[in-house]
Order: sequence, then C-alpha cells, then structure tokens
Amino acid sequence: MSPVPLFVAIPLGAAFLIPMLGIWWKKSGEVLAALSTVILAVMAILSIGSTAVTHHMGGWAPPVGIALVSDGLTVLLLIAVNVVAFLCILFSLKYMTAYSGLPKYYSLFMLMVAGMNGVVVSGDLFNLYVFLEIASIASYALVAFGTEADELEAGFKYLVLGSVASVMILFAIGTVYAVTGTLNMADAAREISLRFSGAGAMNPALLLAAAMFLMGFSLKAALVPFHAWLPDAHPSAPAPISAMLSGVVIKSLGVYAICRVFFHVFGFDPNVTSSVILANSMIWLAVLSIIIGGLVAVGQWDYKRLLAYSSIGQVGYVILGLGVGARVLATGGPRSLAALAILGGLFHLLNHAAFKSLLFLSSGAIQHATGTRDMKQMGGLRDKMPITSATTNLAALSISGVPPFSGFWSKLIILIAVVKAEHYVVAGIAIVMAFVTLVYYVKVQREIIFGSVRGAVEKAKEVPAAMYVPLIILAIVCVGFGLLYPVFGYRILEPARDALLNGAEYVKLVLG
Amino acid sequence: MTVYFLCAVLLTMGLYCLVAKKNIVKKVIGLVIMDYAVNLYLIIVGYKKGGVAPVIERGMNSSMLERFVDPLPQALVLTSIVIGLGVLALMVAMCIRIYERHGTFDMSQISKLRG
Amino acid sequence: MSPILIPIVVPAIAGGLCFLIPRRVKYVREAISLIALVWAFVSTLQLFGSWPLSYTKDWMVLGNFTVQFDLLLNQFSSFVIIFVGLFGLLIGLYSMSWLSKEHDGRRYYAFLLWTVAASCGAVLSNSLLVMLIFWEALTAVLVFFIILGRKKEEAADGAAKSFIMLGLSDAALFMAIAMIWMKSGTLSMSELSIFAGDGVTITMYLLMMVGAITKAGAMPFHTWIPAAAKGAPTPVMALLPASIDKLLGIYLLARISLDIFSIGPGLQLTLMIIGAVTILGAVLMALIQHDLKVLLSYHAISQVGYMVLGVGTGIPVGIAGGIFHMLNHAIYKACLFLSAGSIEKQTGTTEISKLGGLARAMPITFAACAIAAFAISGIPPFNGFVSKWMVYSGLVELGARGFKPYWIFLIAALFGSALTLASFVKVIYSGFLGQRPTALAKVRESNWAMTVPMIVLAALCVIFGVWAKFPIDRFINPIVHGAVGTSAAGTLDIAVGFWDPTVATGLIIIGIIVGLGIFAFGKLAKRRTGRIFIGGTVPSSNMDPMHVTGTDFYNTIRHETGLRGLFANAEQRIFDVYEVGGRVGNVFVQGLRMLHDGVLSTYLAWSVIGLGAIVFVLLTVLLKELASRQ
Repeated sequence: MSPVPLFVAIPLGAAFLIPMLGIWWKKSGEVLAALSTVILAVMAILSIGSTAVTHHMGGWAPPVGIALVSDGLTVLLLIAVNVVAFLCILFSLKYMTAYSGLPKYYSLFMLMVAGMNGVVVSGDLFNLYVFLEIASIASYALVAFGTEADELEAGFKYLVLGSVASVMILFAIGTVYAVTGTLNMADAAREISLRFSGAGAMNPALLLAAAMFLMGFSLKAALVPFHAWLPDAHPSAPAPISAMLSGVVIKSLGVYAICRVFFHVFGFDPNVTSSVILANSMIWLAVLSIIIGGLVAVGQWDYKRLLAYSSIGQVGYVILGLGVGARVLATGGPRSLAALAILGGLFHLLNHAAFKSLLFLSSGAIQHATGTRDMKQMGGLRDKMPITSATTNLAALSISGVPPFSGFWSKLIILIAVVKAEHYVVAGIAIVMAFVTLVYYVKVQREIIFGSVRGAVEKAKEVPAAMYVPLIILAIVCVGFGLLYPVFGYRILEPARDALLNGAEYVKLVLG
Repeated sequence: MTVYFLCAVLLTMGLYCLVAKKNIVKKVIGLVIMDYAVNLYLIIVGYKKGGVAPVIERGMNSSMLERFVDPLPQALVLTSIVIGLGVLALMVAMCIRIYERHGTFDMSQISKLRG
Repeated sequence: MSPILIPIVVPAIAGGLCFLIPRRVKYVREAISLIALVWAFVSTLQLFGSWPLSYTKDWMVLGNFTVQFDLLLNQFSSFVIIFVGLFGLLIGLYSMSWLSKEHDGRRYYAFLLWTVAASCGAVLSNSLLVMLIFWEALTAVLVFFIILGRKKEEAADGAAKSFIMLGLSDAALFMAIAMIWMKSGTLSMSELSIFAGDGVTITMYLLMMVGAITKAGAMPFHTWIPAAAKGAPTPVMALLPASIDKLLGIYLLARISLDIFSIGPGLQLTLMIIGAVTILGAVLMALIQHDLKVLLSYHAISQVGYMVLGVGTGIPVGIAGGIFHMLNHAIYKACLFLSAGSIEKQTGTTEISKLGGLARAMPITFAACAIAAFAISGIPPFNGFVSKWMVYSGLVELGARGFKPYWIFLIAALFGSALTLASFVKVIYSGFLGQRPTALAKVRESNWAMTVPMIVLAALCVIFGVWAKFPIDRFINPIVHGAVGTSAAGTLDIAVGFWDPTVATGLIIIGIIVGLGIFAFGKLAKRRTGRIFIGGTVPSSNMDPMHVTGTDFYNTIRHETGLRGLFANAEQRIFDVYEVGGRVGNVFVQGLRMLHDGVLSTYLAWSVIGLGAIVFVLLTVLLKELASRQ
C-alpha cells in the first residue's frame, strides 16, 4: 500500500487521540506527538527518490474520485514539513512546560501538520482548500495560544486576513469549476490547456480566478502587500510554532500552492498571452517582498519580529526564483534556464525552512534563558550560551548568504538565473537586498551574541539538551546543504524541479 | 449573469464592512457575509434553470439526467459551511478574549503591534 | 593531488582539525597549525616559477550551468601566495607566544589557517565567481577573528562595522561580476579583456574597484580598519588588514586595472585622486591618534594611497612601484603591528600616553619597530623608500608625457610621506624613548616566538631596500611587463626611473626636514600648554609626574585654522560612508515602519488594493487582446 494517505492519517489521528486520552493521561500530547512526528519524518526521508505515485481514495479513479498525488514537489515539501515538525516537537517538550493546556497545544500542532501534509498531497482543488483551512485554523489558534493581549491581537489579525484569503481562494476554486467542470487539478489543467492553448488570453472568468488565487496564496505566503499579518503573528506564537509558521507553513500553504496551481493547473504556456503577465505579477510581488521585508527588518529591535520580517524577504527570493522560471517558460525561453531558476527557488525554500526554523527555535531558547526578546537588553550571549549562539551564528551566516553555507548557494543560483533571464534591475535589487540581509543579521550578532555580557543575559544559562539538539541538527543541515549539494541535495531538488517544469507529466501521472 | 453580479456585490459589501468598520463584531459579520457570498456563488454555479434534485430513481431516462442540477457544488458548500462555522466559532471566542484583555471592541485601538 | 591545491586544501583541513580539537589541547593544535603553515609556505615556494599551471574541476552541476572550480597559477598569483604563506607562517609562530589563556586558541588557529586557505584560493582562482566565494569567505573569517579580541564591546563594534562595509563591497563585486558575465559570457579571468569606455563598462570597473579598495582600505571605504583595530587581537591586525588584505585588494585592483579592463585616462585620474586623498586624509587622522593600534591602522590606510596612486598612473614604473609598495607595506606594517603586539603583551596596553622608555627593556622590539617606521616613512635605504620613489618617478614620467597637474599628486605623496615620518617620530619617542613610567618598570623583552617574526620582517625591510633590484626583477617586473605589454624598453624605464640620485636625495631631504619641522612645531606647542603646570590642580590621575607623553604632540595641528573643521567633521564621522549610509538608510527604514501602523483596516486595505492591482493588470491584458483581435 502506498504510504501517501498515512501522511494525513497519522497526524490527524494523533490530533484526535491526544485530547481524548489527555483526560486520563497527562503526557498523551508529548508522547503521541513525538511518536507520530518521528514516524512522519522517517517516512518523509525514506520517500526521497521514490517514484511519483497517485493514490486513489476509496478505489475511485480520478477525475471522479479523490486522488492523493505524490510527485517530486510533494516529496520536497513533505520532507521540509515533517522534519521541521519533528524538531519543533522535540523542542516543545521542554520549552512548552511553561504553558498550560498542553494536550490542546499538541493536538493543534498535529492538526496543523495534518493540514500541511494534506495540502501537499491532495490532487484536487477543493481538498487543497479544506486542508489549507485545517492548517490555517490550527495556526490561528496556536498564534493566540498564549491568550495574552498581544497574542490575541496578532491572532485576530491573522485570522481576519487569512480568512479573506480563504474566501478568495474558494471563490477562485468555484470559478475554475464553473469554467472547466472539474475540481481535479490534473483534469482542470488538461481542460485549460486544451481550451486556451493558442487561443490568446484566457477567458475573463479564469483570469479573475487566477488573480484571486494569486492574492489568496500570496497572503498565505506573506508576500508584500499581503504580508502585514506575519510580523505580528509569528513573534506572538510560542517559539516552536513560530518556527513552524515561518519555516514551513507559509511555504506549504503559500509557495507550494502557488507552484501547484500556477505551474500545473494554469500552466505557463507560451501560447497563452496572459501567462506572461501572471509570471510578471509573481516577480513584482517577489521584488516588493524582498525590498520591504528586508528594509523593515533592519529597524527592528524585537528579535522575533526581525526574524519575521526577514521571512517576508526570504520568501520573496523563493518566489523570485519561481517567478523568473515561470516567465522564461511563459515567453518560450530556454527550458534549461527555467529549470535553473526554479531549482534556485526550491533550493532556497528548503534552505529557508532549515535556517529560519533554527533561528526561531534559537529565539525561543534565548527567550527561555533570558526572559526577553528585546535586543537592546541583550549582549554577549556567546559567553553564556555557547551552543545556542554558535548555531544562531551559523544560521545567520547562512541566511545572509556567506559562502560556503547553504543560503549562499541558493541565492547564487537564483541570481545567476535572474541575470541569465536578463532582468538586470531585478538582479541589482536582489544583490543589494542580499547585502541588507547581511546588515540585519550583523545587527543580530552585534546586539545579541557578541559584545560584553549585559542586561538580561547576565543570569542566562545554556538551555537543556532537548532544546539544543534540534538547533544542532538544523545547523548541520545548514552547513550540509551548502557543501554536500552534489552528494545528496540534488536527489531532493531535481525531481521537484522536473515536476514543476513538466506540467504534462503531472496530468499523465494523475489521469494515467 | 445578474445573479453573479449580485453575488459579487454581496462579496464587496462584506469586504467593505471588514475594511471600514472599526467594531470587531462588525468585522466578524463582514467576514461572514463574504463567506456566504461565496457559498451562494458556488450554489449558483451548480444551478440549472428548471433543474431537479439529483436523485436517481427507477425508470429515469437520460433526458431526466440532463435536468439534474450539479450535486458537486452543493457538497462543496456543505463543507464550506462547516469550515466557516469553525472559523466563526474561533473568531467569536477570540473576540470575547480580546474584549477581556483590551477592554474595547474598537479594532483601530488594538494596534499595539506595529512598526 | 595537484600541487596548486596544496596551499588551499592543507590549511583548510588543518583549520578544520584545529576547530574540532578541544580548547585545552594546546600543543597538538599549535603543532598542527605550524606544520600546515610551513607546508603551505613551502608549497607556494615550490610553485614559484612553475606557471602556467591550471586546475579545473566541476564543482556544482546545475542542469546545464556548471560552477567550475577553476584555478590558474600565473606570475602574479604565484608571487602573492608566497607572501600570503609567509605572513601566515610568521604570524602563526608569533601567536604561539602572544595568545594568552584568555584567548580562544581553538578558534584563533582555525581562523588563521582558514584565512591562509581562503586568501590563497582567492588569489589562485581564475574564475571570478570562485574568487568571489573565497573573497566573501575571507570577510566572514575576518569578522569572527576580530571578535576574539579581549575588549568585547570594541571588538563587537569593529566586527559589525567590518562585516557590513566588506559585505557591501562584496555585493558591489558580485554585481560587477554579474555584469561582466552578462556582457562577455565568461567568468574566466584569463579570457576577459574589456575596454572600459562606455557607461556600462565603466560602472563594472568602478564596482570592482570598490570591492578591491574596500578590502585594501582606501578612502572613502576605509573606516572599518580603525574600527577593527580598536578591538581585534593585534596579530590579527598584522595578518589581515595590514598584510593579507592589502595583498588581495591591490592584487585585484592591479588585475582589473591592467589585465581584465583596459582603462582610460579618466579612470586613471579617478584612481590617482583616490590615492592622493587617501594618503593625506588618513595620515592627518593618524597624527592625532593616541592608541598605537588605531594609529597604525590609519597608516595602513594612508599607505594604500601610494599603491592606488602607483597603479593609477598607468606608467610601468608607477605600476611596478604600486605593486612593490603593496609588498613592502605588508612587510613593514605587519612588523609594526607585531611590535605593537609585543608591547601590548608585555605592558598590557597600547595607549601611547601610558608608554615610554621601552627601548632599553625591549631592544629587539624597538629595533624592529624603528626599522619598520623608517621604512614606512620612506627613508633610504629601507624598502618603503624604493617603492615610494618608483611611484614618484611614475608621476614625474606622467608629467613628462604631458599630464600637467602631476605635481599636485607628487606633492600630496611627498607631503604624506613627511607627515608619516612626523607621526612615527611621535610613536618612537613616546613609546621607546624618554622616561619610563613606574608602572612599566618590570617590562622585559618578548620571547623568541615573538621576536623571530619581527626580526625576519625587519630584515626583509632592509633587504628589499638595499637589494631592491632582486624583488623587482624577480617578482614585479615580469608582472608589469606581462600586463602592460612593454618590451625591453620598459625594463630600461624602470631601471632609469629607479635611480635618479640627485632629485631623489633632494626630495628625501625635503621630506625629512618637513617631518622634523612638524615634530618641532608640535613640541613647541606642547611646551606652551603643558597641563602639569596648571597651578593648583592635581595632574591627571595615574600618570607619572615626570613622564612627558607624546600623545598630544600634534594637537596644535588639530587646532590649526583650516584643518580644525576637517578634524571636527572627521571625528563626527561625517566622512564615514558607514555612518552616512546608515543615517540615509534609516530614513527609509523608519518610513516603512511607520506604514505598518498596526491597524487591521490598513492591512486589509493593502490586501484589497493588491488584489485590485493584480486583477487590473490581468484584465488590461485581456482588453488589449480583445482590441487587437478586432
């Protein structure tokens, strides 16, 4: 039996069991969550290099039945989501002891994981929407989990903006259904390419749907100007949740959905004039995110808020790579160039999942040890918390693109592709903003890690092993992806790239 | 076409309410209006003039099948309503907590997180 | 393994080992470091003369794009890596004794070895991209090196400033490389030949130049060096900003100015102006410093001016002078920093006002420091004189070729030299001569591990001065000829320009007189305003009543009309691109932060506007489409 449904079933089952067992068994959350995320992470890693499969729910073949699809792109996201989820659970075991209502926390956490896994494996649009809502609702609740004034404010803002996005996505799904008569993504893709290839632009209804999809998923991915919830929501959540939100939620709900819907369902067909405009809009959103996310991050003094703005900018790089690839496809440029751009984007997605979750977890460790996240009250952390500081430093170097760490390579590939695609102004902006990324991470190093011990750091002690082990694992990933890309990185990334590049393959895979 | 247009008007009303109204409860109502606009839209997509319920009975011929309304959007709407309910419940619960913590329903005053 | 890889791979692996060995295992670590450094240095010596030697390997295959690990040994790179290896070795040896228990030797040696590896990699790489990777790695290593300083706040400030300024220059370099790539389709330095004529090519050249001179530390991108000097361990200053960064920065500048680009008179003039301004501006700042390390760091900036000026002349002898000065400067400035480190190790301070009379207690340090100080001031027969003289000859020859304002640059260079002398008279006087403060009564000479590197470097100062023909013929001339393409006549040029005794002696004597004059001027002023004799007040604390410090020698200059405003502004960092850039950037940042006002309705409005914009864009396409169909 194919393991694809298990990626949804296991966390969903855990999410239901935890609060029920929690009535009698206090530790149900910790045990079940840890167990299920271990299994999921191992399953995800084992699925590297597996052939793409379609699982027919209940034995009904698509387009009538519901299909779960696992291709290269899905595997990439499954690895990111489940490995980060496992490490965040590991971190939570000690970190979350300060909170009450732990079974609820773990239950919501597993619900969020189930939603994300569901989004990446589902083969039809409406299931994608349902899982997206499951993950979103769980994350709204988790952001407000502290139920203090700030958490509630952030949670409510996130909820309202996220719901608007969901409404738009549902509207767009309805429109796609109205035009193509199907909800299965492969079927819809076939229908759209049959009807519009060579027919100039798509019809207005479909274009409206595309716009709404783009808006909805961009809001989930926190691209400027739809980003405003993120700098409030991510810092307010407990640290492991921040790590999940910034590390994987914005990617699986936002970036992945953009990939799937635009590359596969709508397709960047050079014969359809509107596809260039779609690709251009993606590039515009990406450039805006890179600029605004980067610049505002420089002015932050709240460590987690700085990281949150940094996420906006880095997701901008991911979308930039994908958008440039899309534009090359849409203008009928060389496919090898599109492949390079998409590879860069996906590589950065994976790297960002690693170093941003590391940074948010380290912010949690720092907050745990010092009781603050105000950078003005810190300094000299490396004398007090050597492991946390070293891993944070590594992640900061990686994200600001210092060779030989992973972030450098992914940004390099994106920039090479952008230059080759002859977007010179965009390339210039991307290089300057890569420098700005360096600036705010130097600020982090200067204010928190280096310098003499002062303020809240004086009484700090290194966090327990359950909290620093995830940091070390993620740090190894940051270094490893940079140096060992030729050894194993390509085995994850190249299938994902090929999946995005060949929309027709996807249709063939699902419909047989 | 008119119904689609009215649907869009309903959606815009909800959106307007969400953006322009300061009161947190009114924002919730605006969101619910948007939600129902989309549900309505889905129903309209599946609707056929003079359609009948899509239930197959003994002795039906193919011309009857032609007259069935599309059942799929109705299933979608049911799911969507359930999801909407979940979101609404969470939202209302949060509103109560927000009122407890901030002592106000005015969302424009609840803007401590900024910059 | 290809021999060209040894100077890169051996220190890199040894650095990794040092990083992993626990902190307490001191001797194993030092043995590994020294073996690796000696190995690297010997291999660089063996490589000398075996050019052209290349090494190519696919590093990262991304579809049809390959990042090639492309190394090429040529005359220039061979010469530079020898000295990278030499400085690495000497400073490794020196650090064995210099590092105290408070320093983190584990990181220190790892970074030292990585520095050598990355520098050799940057110099040897033939692909611009590979060079950039090593170049940026070196920046990161430098930053973490600075952090090892014991004064944590200063070290952190210096590290942050260095990281940001060097990061900006790396970004400029990256942009230039991207532009070169899109323009000529290759990244191989040996295949590139671009005429910097139009706007695009000039921009490329200027961006690369920013990258090069920031590393070397020329104005206006110099401010990271004094900031780093305040906190960094002293041998680190000797290793990176004083020697290896100079070698790399000027190496790149020479490569781009002579090799990759062919530059016109306009850009040459730009370089010369940067050079002249750097010489004067930095030496003026050096005059008023009272910390030995910061003072030396300003001189490290000032001397870059000669190199940039020399390369900027475009005259073979001038270029040769610039490159030779790069080498000489690396030697004597490393020597100066090492003697400062020696003083710091023995007395615990580098504040000039707290020093004095150390000549008797630390004779070797004193001798090395004095020789290096004479060399930096351009006094014959030391090496600094030769290279400065070659730069002067280049300027004179430029004048002879019809460039009339050459004398402005000549005077700037000469005057800078005089001020350098004046500044070092202050250092020598207040550090080694005069009365020794009672606090320093028990100071002794440093041990052999520290004195040997100083002696070697001081000896090199003398050797390269007296037998200057050897390094020039062996190292410098082939590079200049290879690059500029002059024939045998070029050799003659340099030979003639090299010894033109009458003018030379005359100019030198003028220089010395001016320097001594400034010294005397300062001394007189000092007597006029001596603080100690102010009636009734207690002399400033912990200072020996009989100890006359040299700190304020040149305060008269500081208060001179005309210069006063300049100094005041410099101290407020008006000329610091870091500060100015920070202030300008902050305006944007705060503006954008104001937009995020925390009100939900605003955010919703952005989203709606964003949606509207996307819909609008998509629908206009449709309208266009419809219009074109009709």
